[in-house]
Parts: sequence; C-alpha cells; structure tokens
Amino acid sequence: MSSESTTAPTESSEEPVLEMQDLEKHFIKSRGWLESLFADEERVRAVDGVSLSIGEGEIFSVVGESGCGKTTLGKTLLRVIEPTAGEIRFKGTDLVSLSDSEMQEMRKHVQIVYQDPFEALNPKRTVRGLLRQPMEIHDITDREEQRERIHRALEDVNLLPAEDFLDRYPEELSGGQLQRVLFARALVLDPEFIVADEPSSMLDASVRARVLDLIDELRNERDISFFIITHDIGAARYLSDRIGVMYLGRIVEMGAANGIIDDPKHPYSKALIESIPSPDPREPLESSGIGSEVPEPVDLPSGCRFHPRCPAATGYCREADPEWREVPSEDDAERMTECHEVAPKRTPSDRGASAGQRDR
Amino acid sequence: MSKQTQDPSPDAEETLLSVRNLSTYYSEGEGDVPVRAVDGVDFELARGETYGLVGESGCGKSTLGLSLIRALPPQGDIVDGEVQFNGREIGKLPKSEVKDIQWAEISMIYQGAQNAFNPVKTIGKQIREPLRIHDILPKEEREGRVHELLEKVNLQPDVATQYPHELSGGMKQRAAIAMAIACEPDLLIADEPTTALDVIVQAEVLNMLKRLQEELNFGMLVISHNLAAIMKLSDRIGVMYGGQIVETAPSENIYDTPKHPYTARLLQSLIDPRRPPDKVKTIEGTPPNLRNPPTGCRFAERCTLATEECRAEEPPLESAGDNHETACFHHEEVSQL
Repeated sequence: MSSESTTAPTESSEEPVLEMQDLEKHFIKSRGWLESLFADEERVRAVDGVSLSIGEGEIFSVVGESGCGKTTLGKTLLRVIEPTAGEIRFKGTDLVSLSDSEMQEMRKHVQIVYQDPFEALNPKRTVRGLLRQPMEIHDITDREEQRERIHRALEDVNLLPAEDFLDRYPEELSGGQLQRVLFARALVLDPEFIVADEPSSMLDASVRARVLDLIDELRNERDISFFIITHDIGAARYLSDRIGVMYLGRIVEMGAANGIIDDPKHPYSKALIESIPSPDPREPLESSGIGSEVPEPVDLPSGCRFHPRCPAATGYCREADPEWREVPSEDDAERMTECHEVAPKRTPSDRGASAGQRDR
Repeated sequence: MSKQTQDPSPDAEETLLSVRNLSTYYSEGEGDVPVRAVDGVDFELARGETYGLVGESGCGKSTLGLSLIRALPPQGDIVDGEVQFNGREIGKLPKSEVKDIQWAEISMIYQGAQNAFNPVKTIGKQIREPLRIHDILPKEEREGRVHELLEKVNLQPDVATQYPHELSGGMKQRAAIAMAIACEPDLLIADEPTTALDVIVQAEVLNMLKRLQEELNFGMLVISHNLAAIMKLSDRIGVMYGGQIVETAPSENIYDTPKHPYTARLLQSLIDPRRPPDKVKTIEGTPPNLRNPPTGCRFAERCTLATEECRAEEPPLESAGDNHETACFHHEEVSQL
C-alpha cells in the first residue's frame, strides 16, 4: 500500500514531529509496609530507555506481546502518565518540562485514541455530545465553529450523512462505527499527531479494513502522524512506514515495515513473526520456540534481556548488554537492532569495549 | 494437521453430534419480537473431528455453542430442532439432567475464559470442581489428577496453589483448558479460544488443543471470528451469517474455492503480513437485523452478485460438489469476486 512512497523520516531534512530520547517509565511495585522495611523496593521497568523519532505524516507502529510495555509507552509519550526519565519533544518543544496547563494546551495537537470504544465512550451522551466534549475542554465554545468541526470530523471518518449520526447513542452503533467515533473525537481538535492503541484488534476482519483505510486517509489528507500500538502485525505492516518491535520495555528492532516482516533480524522479532498463522490451512502453525511467558520487567536478566528465551543466546549474551546498532538488511538501509548475534557480529575487541557497561 | 489428509466426512457410526434445524431465539418476554440468533442450523461432528464455526460478531456462533451445552442466558431458548449427542436427544433435556452432561460429556472453554475464574479460589480448587461434581476419582486422588491436568497444558504443579491474578492471560487460558478436559469429555466447545491473546500465545494454545484432541479423541467445535487461526485447527469449517450456516466444507476447500460470496469477502479481508494485499477489501453494509431478517438471502443487501431471485427467495444450503455445501443461487460466480 502506501508505505515507502511517503517517508523515510530519518533521512528527511525536516525536523521530526515527535522525538523521544531515553524515555523511561518505571513503576514502584506496591507492597505491605512490613515487607517494605526489609526489602528494597521493586521497580517495574515498563518502558526502559526508548529512543525514536516520528516524521511528519509518518505512520509508525510498535508491536510486541502483551506486557512488553507498548501501551505504557504510548501513554507516557503524551504524558497521560508521567515519564520517570528521558526527553519527549513535539516539534521542538520539550513536553516533559511543560506545566500541566501548558501540556493541556498542547493536547490539542497530540491526541490519544484508546483501544476499547465500549469503555472509552460515555453511553449516556449522543455522538454530538461526545464530539463536543473535547472542544469544550479546549475552549472552542462557538456553536457555529463546533458544528463545523463536528461535521468535518464525521465526514473524515466516513460516518455519513453526519445528521444521521449526531443524535445516536453509543449502543445504537456497531463496533466499527464506535471506533470511528473515537477517531472523530480526536479529529475535532485538528491534531497533528495521534497515538492509537490497538485501533483494529477488537474488530471483525470486515470492519477492520475500514478502520485501517481511515487511518491511511487521515494521514494522506490531513497529514497527521500516527503512533500505533498493536499486536495485529498484519495491520501494522499494511499501514505503517516503519515498525518497532518492543520487548520488556525496549525497542529491540526497528526498520521499514516491509523489511521487518520479510526479513526480521532479532531472534525475538523472528519468533513473533513466525507465530502469525497464515490463512492457508495446509501450512502448519509453528510454535515460536521461545515459550509464551513474558517475564515481568522487575528483576531483569543480566546482559540481553531476551537471553532466557532466546534460541540463539550464548554465554556472552548473559553477561553483556547488546548495543543498539545498524545492521545491513536488504531494501532497508536503516535497520537497527540490539542483539549480539545478528550478523555482522562485532569483533571481540569491539565487544570488550562495550561489555558490562550500561550505556542506557 | 494429520486429519486433514483423511476423508473428513464423518462415518455414520462415528457421529458424535448431529444438529438438525436448530433455532435459538432471545426474547425479553411476551410481546417482544424475538432475536433469531440461531435460525435453522444443521451440522454434524464426528469423534476426533474439529468443526470450526466462523463469522462476524452477532452472527449467532456463540449462541449456537451455548445451545449445545445448554448454558443459554435466561432470555435464550431453543425454540426448534434437534440435538443428537452420543445417540440421545439433549436439546430438550430438563435442567436437572443437563447438569449430568456438562463438564462430563460436553465441556466449554468460554469466551474470555481467562477472566472467568473465581478470583478468590485457587486454580487447583477450580479445576477440581468438575471432578467433585461428577464424583470422578476418590477424593484423595483428585489432587494428583489436577497436577496431571496442569502438566498436560504445560503448567507447573504449583499453579494449583495460585490465584487467578497471579497468572498471565496465556496461563489462565491454559488452566481453563485443563479444567475443560478434567472429566475427559466427548465434546469440547471452544469459544474464541485465542482472541485477546497475542500471536505467540495463540500459536501455543492452538497447537495444544490439537495435541490434546489427538490424545483424548474428543470432538471439537471451535468458534471464532479469526478465520486464519480457525482454519489451522479445523477439519471442516461452517461459515455463519445472520443466524444461519451459509457454507460448509473442508478447510482447504473453503480457502481455495469459497462458494458463498460472504466467505469470499471474509477471505479477502484477511491480512497475511507475509503476503500483504495491496488493498484490503471491506464488506460494505451491516449484518441483518435478526429481529426482522429480510426475506430471501440474508446477505443479499451486501452482495454484489445478488439478483431479484436472491431478495425474493431464501437459498437452501445445498451440495455444490465434493463435500461442499453452500446457500447461494450464484455460487458458480463466486470465483469471479
């Protein structure tokens, strides 16, 4: 589909729309007071040092198992929850240093669309009321302007004619229509950047296609950049320019969407992609070979955090942190990964230089 | 995938489940126009066979599963048809006798089973429950049986002493499977067994169901909207639309040569990430209102092949060659879609 044609954002001379550097979100695990006297606090490293940037009009997807931290990453990068450390820049503005009221103002430009429309929408409000709400929060009170923005948003999400939907309640809409109302709610504020958490995975296949096309249209027509969080890897490839694969709080591989799926380098990306069932019943379904239990990001393994599940792990992987580095890949010059074993391996002397030091 | 090389049509003597003209309606009481959630469904299932029911939300597939295990919510009722199971009619069994069958002969992994465990009871206690109800094994041997069951689903024995919140979604799903096979049922119904699980856990659960079936030889009815996953598991597929089965055939035939326009559209809406389509197709329109379904074919208003005939008359589910049945007047044109 769209993919490569539009962006190669890291090459582009333009400034990225959103950039994060060494972003961290750690939670302190709650425990009883008695226990807390005798043990160190437990830190859940949900997001543990993520750096990436998203270009204008780019669609970037993060994929990974439940528990890998992708939803927390999405919330942290728009400060729905506060980061523990790191930088987030939106068009050059440092979001982390903004006061609450400045951040509130900023939210007009950066919106988040949550995954479950049934939970995210107040059942007692009509579509009109649901779309008016964000504008009222942002002091867009002129009725005529509200009306125009609502109509434009409903048109953009293809709920037409708009008049037919304005007075309906969520229970009168299908799952796919509700998902589009959620997008319309973000669009009334005319955002430049949208974080969408699992926009398609709750939907039936036939409806899913419509929501994916909607995201693509919004990017093409309104030039909105998207950060999509999903375990629907088919959707991620179909839509995205680039994909990042997340494991235990870190992006372990990143590159052009097609390249990541056709030629994954990191053993975790490989396992993830091999587990996707192809629809052809003759092709056997391979188990990933890495087991299905994601460790909790509390006591992280030494060295590479994937090594306990990794079929390619060596003794060295248990000791040394892998470095985030470029690896050559067919039709993807900018593939990055963090794995000791991906070719070309670094020489032992190179390794010695970085071994044991946490450059994070 | 071994079974798919054999003749998938069930032998008469092996038939485990035979459903004839089954209709289940939901009604809020007298005067309410009922929702015809399942409306005249026929299918058969042999021991050791897997039948996959696929369709969009609201097509009636879960209601069909709940009808078979007789666990419908109070508003739901089997209003017509027969359910022959192990040679006897169970569609009209009184409630008191239904209990003898549930878990022991037919068990079900419910949709969202991960969240169906009682939060204040240990996993072991909950898996023991069906053994206790049906008085299977002397009491002192039940704990050993629970450990054996946990092992079958690749869980450590100490999971028995844990509470549901201590387990991941994938582990809970496997515990639900252990509970479902506790009494070695003849029929296992799995409703969306992998929805909400990510691909790695999904592959594990699907392969586990297949392995357990080979070991225990139960018949399996798998219900899902995930066409790719269900075709991996099933010998035969039934495609449901608007409360009816509109096409049924071995999985390979469904994949290679769908003969109902709805099935063809469903297949076109799939995205195989390794072979992504240039354009994913959408099925325009919405499913029919099952309080007042249209005359004629229920898919006609969304179908590009539909003619006057389709809107006037309901196409029967009929043989279209080789183990393949479809309810479409235009099934010969489906390959052009």
